[in-house]
Amino acid sequence: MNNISQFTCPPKVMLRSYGVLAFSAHPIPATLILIATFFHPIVGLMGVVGNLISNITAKWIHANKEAWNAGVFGVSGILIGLALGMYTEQTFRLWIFLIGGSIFSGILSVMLGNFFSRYDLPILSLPFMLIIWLLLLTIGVAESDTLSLTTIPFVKSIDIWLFNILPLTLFEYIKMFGNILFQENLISGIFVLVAIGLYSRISLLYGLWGGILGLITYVFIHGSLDGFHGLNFTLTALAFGGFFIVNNKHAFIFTSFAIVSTGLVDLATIKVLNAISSESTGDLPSLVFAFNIITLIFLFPLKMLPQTIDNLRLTPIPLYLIRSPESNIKWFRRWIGNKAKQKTIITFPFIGEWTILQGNKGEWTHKGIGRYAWDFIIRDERKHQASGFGLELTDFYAFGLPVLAPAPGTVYAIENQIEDNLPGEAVTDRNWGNYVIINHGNGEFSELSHFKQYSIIVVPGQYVQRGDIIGYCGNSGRSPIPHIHFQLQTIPEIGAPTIASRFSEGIINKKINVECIPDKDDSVTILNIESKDEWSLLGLEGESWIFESQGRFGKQKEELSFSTDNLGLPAIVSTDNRLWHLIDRPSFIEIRPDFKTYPSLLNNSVWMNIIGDGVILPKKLVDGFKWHGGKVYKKFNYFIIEIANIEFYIHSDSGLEKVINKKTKLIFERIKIEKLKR
Amino acid sequence: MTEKKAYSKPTIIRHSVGVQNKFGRPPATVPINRLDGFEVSELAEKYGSPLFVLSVKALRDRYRDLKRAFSTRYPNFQIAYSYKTNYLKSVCSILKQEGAWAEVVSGFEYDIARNIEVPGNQIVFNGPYKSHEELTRAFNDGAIVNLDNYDEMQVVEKVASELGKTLEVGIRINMDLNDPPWHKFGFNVEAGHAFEAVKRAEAGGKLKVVGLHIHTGTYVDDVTIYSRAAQGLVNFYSYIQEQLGVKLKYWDLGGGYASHNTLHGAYLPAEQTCPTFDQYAEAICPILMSGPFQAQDAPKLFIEPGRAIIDEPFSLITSVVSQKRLPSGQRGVLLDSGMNIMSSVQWYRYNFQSAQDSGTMLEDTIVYGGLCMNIDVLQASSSIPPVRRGDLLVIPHVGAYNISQSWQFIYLRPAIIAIEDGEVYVIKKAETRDYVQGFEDVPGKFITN
Repeated sequence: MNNISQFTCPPKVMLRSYGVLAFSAHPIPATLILIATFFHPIVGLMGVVGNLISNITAKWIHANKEAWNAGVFGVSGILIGLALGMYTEQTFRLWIFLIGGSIFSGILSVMLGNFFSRYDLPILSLPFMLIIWLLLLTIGVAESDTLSLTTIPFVKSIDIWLFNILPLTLFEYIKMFGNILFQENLISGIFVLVAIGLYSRISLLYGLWGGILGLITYVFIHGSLDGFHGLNFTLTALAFGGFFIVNNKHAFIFTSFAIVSTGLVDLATIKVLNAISSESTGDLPSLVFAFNIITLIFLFPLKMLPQTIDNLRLTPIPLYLIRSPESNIKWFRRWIGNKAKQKTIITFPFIGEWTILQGNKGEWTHKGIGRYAWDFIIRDERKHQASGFGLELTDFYAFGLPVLAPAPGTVYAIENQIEDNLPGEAVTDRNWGNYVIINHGNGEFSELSHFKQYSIIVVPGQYVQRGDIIGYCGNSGRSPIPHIHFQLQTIPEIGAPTIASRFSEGIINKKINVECIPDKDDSVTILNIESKDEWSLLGLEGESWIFESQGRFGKQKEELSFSTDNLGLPAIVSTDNRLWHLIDRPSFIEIRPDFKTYPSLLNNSVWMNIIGDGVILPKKLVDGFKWHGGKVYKKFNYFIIEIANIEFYIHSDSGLEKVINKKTKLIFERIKIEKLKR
Repeated sequence: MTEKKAYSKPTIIRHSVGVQNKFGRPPATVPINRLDGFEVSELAEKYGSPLFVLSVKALRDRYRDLKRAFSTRYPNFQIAYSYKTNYLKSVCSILKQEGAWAEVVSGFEYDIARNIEVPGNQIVFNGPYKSHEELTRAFNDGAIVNLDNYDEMQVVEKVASELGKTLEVGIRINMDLNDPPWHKFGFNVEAGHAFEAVKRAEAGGKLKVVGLHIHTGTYVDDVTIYSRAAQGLVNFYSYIQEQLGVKLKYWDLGGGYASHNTLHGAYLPAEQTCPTFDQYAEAICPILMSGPFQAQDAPKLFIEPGRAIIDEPFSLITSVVSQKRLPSGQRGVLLDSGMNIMSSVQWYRYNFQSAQDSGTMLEDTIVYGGLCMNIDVLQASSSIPPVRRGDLLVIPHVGAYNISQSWQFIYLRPAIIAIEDGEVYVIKKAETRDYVQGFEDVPGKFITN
């Protein structure tokens, strides 16, 4: 980095700072906001200067690069520019104050940013609030009638015309959105509304709701509409309305509380400020103090809560992931989706067709911490578990059948000594009977139990592959009839709490399923697809596939490189450095987007659009293959995998060549393969 | 009004068997008067006597029992139904529905399988004699072909040259498993022929050995023979893998599984000696699983059952023509079905069950078939209650070989019906004279006087 570039700020970062003002960091809404500040041209110019200086200062003192790029360090600079322009007399001295204030704002932003980042809290416009009060106390707030702001005459005339035809409440209501930029005219209000609406419909609705609730609160507390400034209400509504926390009905109620509280804080602030105001200082404006305080106060407890699957009512989003309320919802879905998924790819621990005696949350023993478990037995055509009267253990079909490793791993512990019970009897002192615990090396352990006495053929420390025989089904422990008990757990001890898990693939009630949780009385069979044609996206490290896509915005090129993720597992990286995990299952391959990879409203990647929240594609291709998610058929040299409206063209030799979404007409076609340069 | 009991000419017989003794009550027969919910007499009246009756449910149950036993012990398992035991199209179709592949031993059987739309790659083509054309067709269809001898290997190499590609084949091997040993099929392991055959096939450059086939015998009710065969396969595979680098895609343990019919000379009834499918599977699968491979790459295991799944579902309804007393004092019963449709009488001591309440007074009886031949004896000694002309008898478990080996002789062959879910289907009509003589031609010269 040379010295000059240290003291520059690219326009896009400056523009983003404008977007951040209204929680809409995209060039188009940001431009609208920028224009709205220029209805008082000089004020607008001061905003730009404040922005630039603040940003450059932050960069100079090595602000966090990502946050800087997102424009958060310019926000306070803009606001200082705007507020100085609006509340003080135009003098030469003012510009010096502006420059000094902006530098201070840059430094304070970085300082607060570093401090708040420990709690993952936003700095909002807190630096601005602290500095502007210092400045105004020093300079003195101008009497509003002495201010001679030069508004663009055209804007002013439209504003007056609108003031005459619109009801007062509506006028004030829309104007309120302009308040965010300290603008006192209707048109800037409209501009801000349009900017927010373009960026996010959820934000727009929340903004409007914040305005209404704010009006009501204000009138209720204050008694009239006099002196109403809606900016704190709308900003709070925007902040909580799906931006910092995931939008849902709880978030709505929470946001509404925050909005009402803002009114309280704001009015109280005004009272305090009035009390300390003197002749020399003038009336200090309360500005956005209430919004800053309320947002931090309301957000802090949420950030401190541990986020678990069982506690999802109010979910704050990590700041670095936030783009828009819509993308937050997408992230949230993926986040829970990933959290709910076990890491181990498990398959059924037996050969042939078995039946579930007790599934997850079963009626007898799969309760409480043991609820995510399965018991497998064998039933014949007559639904009997045994031939004859079932008086002998050997009458039971399941007794003595091989039990397989459900996934690769190292045997962690076994018990092999416990005697088998007679049919109908069960001991409860050594519940699990003979068991095997397998360590899958990813923090997850399989536990299989009720083996036949002395039938376990593996020893602790032994490596087993998926499908290896580890022992034979018996009737030991709390087992009145021979069966296999299976569960996945995160602690290697016997009887540890179970975790929710799915079998990667299998035949459930004669139908092929992936990611299945079979239930009581379902017949289940291990899936075994025979195919000459197997394709895979794995093992192509160092290769990059160039695709041409026909999307909503015309033709474009996209590139997929094969790489690995931070755990060293196979992944695809797309042109804009988004990541897709490749999850290899015995007969399927899953393409799962990293939970940070989601399309924003204005993203036009066709690949991202097509893959969406992920797809599971058959790996072993057979003409006419069907599973619950789709089907495969052959056409010339291609196997076509059809899932919903999306067709994946797989060439038998060279893999994925084309993807077509028949519904949205998006086409994604490979044009060449490149070796990545090292 | 109750029907009169069957009249039996008064004779004095010594109750050598039949009275209560220290082992319990005398053998009593419960008449079989219903088959899958239908009155036997009504069936005979409507479709004629004799009549073969197939219980489709029993067939499906047998198949599924067998499949369950093996598929829960071996990860990659497939049943190939032995067509020769009964290749009625309906039978083959039902088993195809159940997921069975076809095991055929001739071009004719191959044609039957293709005719009911068994995919070519789901046919196992065995048999000692396969013609050049049949082999070409099989390889074109992607069928699994197991070679029996060197002559055949040469023909297949010729086929490979004609088709211009390397062909994947299986080799039939045999071992000294039973007495007398079955050495007819394939190449012997102990004599080193089997190893030579695999080596020869690979050396020719046109064939690739991907399968091994062994057939232990027929009606093998000793599961240890299968264990030894399985161990033999594992050993042989390990050897050829080590020596020749052969990697098997499948191995085939053939057929021979016993059914619930008692053989002549058997000491105990089949109900007590016939192993269950689970016992067969337990004798075979764990041994095969110890083979030189990882569990998830296990070669496909074929078994080729015929008799074991098809015997039980079929019954024959036949009627009594006459009851007579022989000079020896033994009672004789003459039936309307002969050994032309019951060829398995040379193997089995069938049960002849009365279809009506004929009392419990069983008497040792010689059962004659209806053919005008002295040799047509269905059973030299059978315990049958008193019967009279027109009474019906039911012979259970007659599905294997009887129909496919039947020959038209003296009488026309009877109809065959199938019953499932309370419906009766005629799956083969009774023969007519036109059917039998339809292909005949009498030159005019022979007719004019």
